[in-house]
Amino acid sequence: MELPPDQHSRHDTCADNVLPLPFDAVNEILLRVPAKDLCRLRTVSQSWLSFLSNQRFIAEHKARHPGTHIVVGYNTALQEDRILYDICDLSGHIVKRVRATGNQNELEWVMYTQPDLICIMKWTDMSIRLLNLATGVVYALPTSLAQEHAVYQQDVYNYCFTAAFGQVASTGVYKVLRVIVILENGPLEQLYEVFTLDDSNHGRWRAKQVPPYQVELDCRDNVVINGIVYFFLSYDVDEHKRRLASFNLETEEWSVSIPGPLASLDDEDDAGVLYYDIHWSFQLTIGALGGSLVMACHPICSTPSSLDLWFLVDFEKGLWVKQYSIELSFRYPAYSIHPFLVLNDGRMVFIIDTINSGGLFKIYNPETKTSEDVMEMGYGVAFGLYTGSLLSLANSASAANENTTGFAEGP
Amino acid sequence: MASAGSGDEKAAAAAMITLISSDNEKFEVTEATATLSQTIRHMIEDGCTDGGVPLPNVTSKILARVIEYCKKHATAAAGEEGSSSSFSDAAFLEVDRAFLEELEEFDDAFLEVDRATLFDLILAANYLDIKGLLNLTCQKVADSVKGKTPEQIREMYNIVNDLTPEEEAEIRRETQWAFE
Repeated sequence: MELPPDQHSRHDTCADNVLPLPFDAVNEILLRVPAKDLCRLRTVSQSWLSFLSNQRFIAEHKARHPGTHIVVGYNTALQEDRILYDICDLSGHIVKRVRATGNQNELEWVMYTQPDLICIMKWTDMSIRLLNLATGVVYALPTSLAQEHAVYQQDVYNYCFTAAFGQVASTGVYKVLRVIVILENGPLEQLYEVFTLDDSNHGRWRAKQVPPYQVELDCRDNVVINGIVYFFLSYDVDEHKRRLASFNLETEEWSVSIPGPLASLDDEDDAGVLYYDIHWSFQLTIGALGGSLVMACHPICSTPSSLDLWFLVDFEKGLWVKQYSIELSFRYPAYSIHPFLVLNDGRMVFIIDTINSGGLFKIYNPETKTSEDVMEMGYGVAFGLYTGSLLSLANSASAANENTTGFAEGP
Repeated sequence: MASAGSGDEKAAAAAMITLISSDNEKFEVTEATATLSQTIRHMIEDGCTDGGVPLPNVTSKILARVIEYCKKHATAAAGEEGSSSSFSDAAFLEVDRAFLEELEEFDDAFLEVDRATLFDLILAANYLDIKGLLNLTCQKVADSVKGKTPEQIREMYNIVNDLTPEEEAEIRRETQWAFE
């Protein structure tokens, strides 16, 4: 019996012009080439461009090259060359770099991230956009304040705001929470607004009730876990007395506030005195590790630094458990250490702000009790995860992708 | 890779298959060697190999190389199987590692061919559905593509750049990071 020629290859005219081989073989070869090379080789010819931009190829390539990527968002005012965000691998290599477009005077910064999504703030008109890094879809949120807050609208320089966003646990719908600070003389005033990314909003922000505390929605020290935004309360107390509270994105209600794990350290208490003797000053940060809210506590600006990680076990009871006490050392003094991520193999990733060199990624292995510095990434202002393909055409640079519908239909 | 796995192991190991290249040269190979090709394995299962298997897409030069690859890898597979029952764990690991090292050296030497031969091997591996050989040869081409500029790729494969300067500039602008 004679085999029919080329029984196993799906001949594709496009593949023929890429390399003189059948489709399957061309596919097999190019799936083995790293994304950065492939992005560059899109400019070989029309055939290469169309082969390497094919959605199925991109999906297959992603499946072949899994791995965690970290998004480092910047403030373009602090970056040369208007770099808006980098995507890095865990070895610290920048695998994708995206610059802000628009004119030189339009300062933009990455205000907040969720996996595959970043929130970009433009200073000139106080507008915010959500960008899906995997699909390239951009969702521009309305710039006007909620109707209830219209009186504050006259001048954008009258207020500033911070924002966080996340998915409602039960429905997967994204909601954005923003805390507006009115910049007028007199007592500090905060306004609270929510925007839902579905059709029910009629494209506007909605005012929320005022909680019985001041919310510090600092982009580095708040975290969304299962549709709940956790954040610190006021800075105007001793660090160890700072309390936490949360906002439920589904019910849109504020929680009561709870004390942090160090609140019981009374100044006259023996333990407390001892603590202050050793560490004249320390820093608290919060992050999510393996789905738990974690508060990190470390002395400020010391080079060898002991870091305690307190896991929140029961929010209602304000119950914290110290699960790790880690020794880390730094070339430059660290002034804040943020718990960022637990990898599949149990190693923990921390983001560290140092005094001389900007930000630093450190990976700590709890089994060997050793840590390695992964990369220095300059003055990143927001950090997130990227799970999409590096071949994705998504790029905040292309305004053509501007879209106000279907944002939540991402991957 | 296991041999046919029927109850009649000895008969299967001894069975010979004749492969016929496009230029009509005949190659006698054991069934264990031939069945590294999924295509031929299916033909054996269907009982279609009497009188030889014509391979009109594969020249004798390439078929000889393909058979060389299959023989080596079939022997290695058989050796591994045999060792697992007759050696202690430590000895088995030692033998296993020696096999793998030898196989790796063989593969490296096997790939020392010009590009035309490499592409012919890919075509044959694809046509005969020999997974290991396809992976090996495709990886070799992929490695040669890594780190290259678009100009170098065009030169290597005689490709004409049919993108307009505007199109090229647009792609470069959107993925500037890939050119740095």
